[in-house]
Amino acid sequence: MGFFSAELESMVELYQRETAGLMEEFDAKQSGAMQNGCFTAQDINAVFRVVHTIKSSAAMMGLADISSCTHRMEDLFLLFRDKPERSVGFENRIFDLMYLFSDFVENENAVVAKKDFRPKSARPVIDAIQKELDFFKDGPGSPAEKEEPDAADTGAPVIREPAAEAAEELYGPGELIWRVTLRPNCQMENVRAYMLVRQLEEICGKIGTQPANLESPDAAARIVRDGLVLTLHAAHAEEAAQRLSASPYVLRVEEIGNGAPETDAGPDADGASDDADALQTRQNKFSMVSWSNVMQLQNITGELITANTILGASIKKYVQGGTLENEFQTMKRLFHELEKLVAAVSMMPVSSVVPQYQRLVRDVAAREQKQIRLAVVGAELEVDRNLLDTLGSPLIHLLRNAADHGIEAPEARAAAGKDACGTVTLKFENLTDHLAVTVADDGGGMDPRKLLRKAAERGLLTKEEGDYSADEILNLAFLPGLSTNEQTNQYSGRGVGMDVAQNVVSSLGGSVTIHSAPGEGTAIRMEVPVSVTSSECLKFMVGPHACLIPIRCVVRILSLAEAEEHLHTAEGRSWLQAEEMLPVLDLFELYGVQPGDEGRRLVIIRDARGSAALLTGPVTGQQTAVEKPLPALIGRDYRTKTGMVGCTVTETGKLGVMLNADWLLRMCGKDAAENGN
Amino acid sequence: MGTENTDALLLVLRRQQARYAVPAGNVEEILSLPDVTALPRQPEYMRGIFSYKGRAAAVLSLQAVCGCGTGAGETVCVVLRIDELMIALTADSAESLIADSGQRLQADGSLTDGKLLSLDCVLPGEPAVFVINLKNTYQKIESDFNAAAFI
Repeated sequence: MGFFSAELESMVELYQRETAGLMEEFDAKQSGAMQNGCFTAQDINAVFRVVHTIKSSAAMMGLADISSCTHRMEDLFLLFRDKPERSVGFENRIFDLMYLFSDFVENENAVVAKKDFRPKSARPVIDAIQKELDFFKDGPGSPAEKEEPDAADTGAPVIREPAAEAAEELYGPGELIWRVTLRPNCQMENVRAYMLVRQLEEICGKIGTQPANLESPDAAARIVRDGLVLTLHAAHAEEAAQRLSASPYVLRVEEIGNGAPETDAGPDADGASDDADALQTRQNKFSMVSWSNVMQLQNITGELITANTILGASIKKYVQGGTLENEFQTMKRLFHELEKLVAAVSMMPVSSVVPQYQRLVRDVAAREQKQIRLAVVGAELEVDRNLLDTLGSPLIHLLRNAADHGIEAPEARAAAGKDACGTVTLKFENLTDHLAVTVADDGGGMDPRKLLRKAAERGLLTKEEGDYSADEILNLAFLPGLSTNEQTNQYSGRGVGMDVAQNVVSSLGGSVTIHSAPGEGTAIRMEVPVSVTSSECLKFMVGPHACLIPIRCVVRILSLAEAEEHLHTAEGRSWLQAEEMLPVLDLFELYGVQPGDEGRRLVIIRDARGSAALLTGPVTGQQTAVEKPLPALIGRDYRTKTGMVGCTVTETGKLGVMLNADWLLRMCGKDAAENGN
Repeated sequence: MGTENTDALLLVLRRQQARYAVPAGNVEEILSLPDVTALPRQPEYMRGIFSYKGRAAAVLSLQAVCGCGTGAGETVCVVLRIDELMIALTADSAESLIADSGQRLQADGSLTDGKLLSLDCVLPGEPAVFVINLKNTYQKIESDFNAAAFI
């Protein structure tokens, strides 16, 4: 038999999801405080609320250890809430404690839904928090006045009723009082009530209840006798009433009173802002949707769009105008709406993954006795979750490398005239159809001679050392197992990280570039296409190959005949004289096919890298394309050398290849970039 | 050498007069030859790619992987899953399912010398059945394809 009773078993998944969401919020607040170097009042309030909520739900689930350690953490942040000055100057100590706490809660939460789950003892965590609680109560910045002795002073667990306290502090006038009567014999009335309140809090923020403590032993009997009394803000009444009426356990809802309108004497500005913060947190973070369902929804949406595209081609072929075509246009529009919605559901803020990287850098710095600051740029961006998950592994490797091997020891930095504290920058940029993620450090940079020597020792060079350009030497760092570090440790140094980054990004149809200057640092930039969404593409043929390129990259299409007089050849390369001299990339030559006589075109493309003209076969139209990755068998070399980033189902039902403008422009060499902007 | 589960079923594929087998557990589906999209500069053993259940799968010719021609005459396409990877192998036909009796002969290295094929073992009989080591074969093909010698 499992740990949970049959009645609680059905709520384990919900508890797990909620706790995961709450811990995400906990980690984010810690990460924010670490970046700022201190706790704001909002941070403290948010952490307090998070641990309080986990404490309650863990108690409801019978998870005594989680409930006890969250209770201690709640006490600690309650203390900081009342006396924020006591945390000042001790932030690192508090961060360490928070990590200890979050490790325990998150590890337990990760396995709570397993059939053989048995709670682990939280004693070490409880003791550690208690020790800090004692320290902060009596120690730093402690005023002469001492708090009234409570249970903690006697060594017994600190027992408070934060729910009641919070209710007293956070709720004022301008509110409605409802009595909710649950259906007779719905069983576990207090648990039903608790879940209802949690649902309503997603809409209304904090809600006062009577009985105040829904976890108390007599709460169920009181709810049966007197009903569940709710105090909530009038502004959310309609939505809350709808939510209650949708519950199968609610028999009726009556308004039994309301508070006076809010006045200046109402909740203070801080409290109001906290409530807004809490409401926003709940609304933004707690998505009760299984991620595997979202992924299936993404796939099905992509398939629907593809099928609709094929259907549209058939309709165009056999039917001119009329109802059928109108219906098709309606369907197309609806699919577009669906796609946008699915894309929005799949998004998550970058900030949600920052805490783990913050911790990683901090751990490496502590272990290696370095001073390192992680600066995060673009944390506010929202990115498809699949993409963030997939980039997780390369980011961990790259950040470890940067902290461990990039940033020098404080003495070395001081000797080089640098700030003893190094900076690792994690930067996210939205490039419309691509996401760029850069990991940069202001450390010692890579030593090209060392890279060459190591590669030569391992027999990895494919030409004479002297024939390698500076960029090619840096790119040797991507070779599997090549590391210039003389020593390995638990974090890095085996030459795996760069290889992992290269492979993962390549599998996403993206690219990795590296810049490094001795003494100045290293920057690794990954560019990956943003997933899921479809794009409007121009279709053209290159011999037998159907190719597509996003139409946003296409500037102009010329027939070869009309452009011929503007074509120039020099040093084996062709150029098109337009507003500027554009390099010409002959796709027939690139793909090894004979050009036909008819229909050759010059498709002029442009992106941030520059402009170029592609020599192609006939242009066959335009299509909404849902990009699929090429089979894994087809490696990076092939893709970058052909410019093929993926494939898509065309209107004929066959696959066409999708080209990446950036890769094609790279093939044109530096000249494209120089002429482009 | 040899697979661990001797009770496993094998799907026997015919290539001209020869018989090859793949573990039935790796077989996703047996299809008639799909309409594939050839890729530029693809090697001879690759027929191209096709859309299978929303994913692009590479289609390879068993005959060409064995180094015996271009795969003319192959009429079936066996979609195989190797862990998270997927490939489709075309063959003359999918003949039968057989139980692996465990009576197996070690595959002589000369059988696969210079070929992209990798064998687990040979099941004796008339004719003998060559059991393909899918993982190693996949790795060989992947290395060859990405050696980029053809581009």
